[in-house]
Amino acid sequence: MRTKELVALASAFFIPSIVLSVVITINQVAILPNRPDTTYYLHRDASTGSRITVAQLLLTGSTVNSVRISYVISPGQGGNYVRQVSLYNADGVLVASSSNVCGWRTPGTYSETLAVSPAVSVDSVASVRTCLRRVGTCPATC
Amino acid sequence: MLAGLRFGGQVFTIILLLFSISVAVFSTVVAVGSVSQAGGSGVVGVAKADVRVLRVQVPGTVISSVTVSASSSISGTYLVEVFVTVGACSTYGSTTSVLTSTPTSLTIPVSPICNYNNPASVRVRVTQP
Repeated sequence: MRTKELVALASAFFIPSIVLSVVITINQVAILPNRPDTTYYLHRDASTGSRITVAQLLLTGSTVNSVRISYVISPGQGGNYVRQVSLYNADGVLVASSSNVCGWRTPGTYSETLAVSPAVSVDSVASVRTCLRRVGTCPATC
Repeated sequence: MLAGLRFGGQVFTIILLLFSISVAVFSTVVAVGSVSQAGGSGVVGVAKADVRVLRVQVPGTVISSVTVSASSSISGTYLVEVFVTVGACSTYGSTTSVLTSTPTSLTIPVSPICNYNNPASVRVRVTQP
């Protein structure tokens, strides 16, 4: 076999191999989320039906400083309500929480921001627990 | 001299041919093979994405959908699933969406519909479809 023929034969293998390798590199990289599951527990007060409808992590960069909640106080169920949020990691360990905020609420829809302490990386938060509970007097805890 | 060069060129060509064949074989093996890594299977490479589920919203007294806000450090198409448990009622919904580093809001219908008559657990799973 002559040299030119061998070169042509080599090229016939070599070029497709490079193309195939590039295609494999580009297409077959799987994207795996760091933490596939995130759980939000939205509390509903059993005695009044008042309930939390929204929970949102508020970030500064990638740090959670506070949690914004929206909640509905059921008609005819005004009273003192305590609100609180807690953040847990993937092992179920409490990593941050807000203080218990208590005050009088008339029926309606509310949104408020609860600061959490300490500030934690959002990537360490696997579950968010919210609490809304009517209490007789303030201060009180969830 | 000339004969030596010709012989050297042939050797080079043969080496190049063997190399090319080995690359082709390796590429084929990689293409059809599988590697399990970090929970993945049947894939060659794994890129870790920081997926963030930043917001969850449910409607009023009846949970017929869940609005989720999510982002990912690696832009791409993801399967977003929601598993809702309210007392004895469990429901599920999913959608496929492109996630980027900017949070994307997704409203995902769930079926069956659950009454929001107990504390609700909303579990959001984000995976590659």
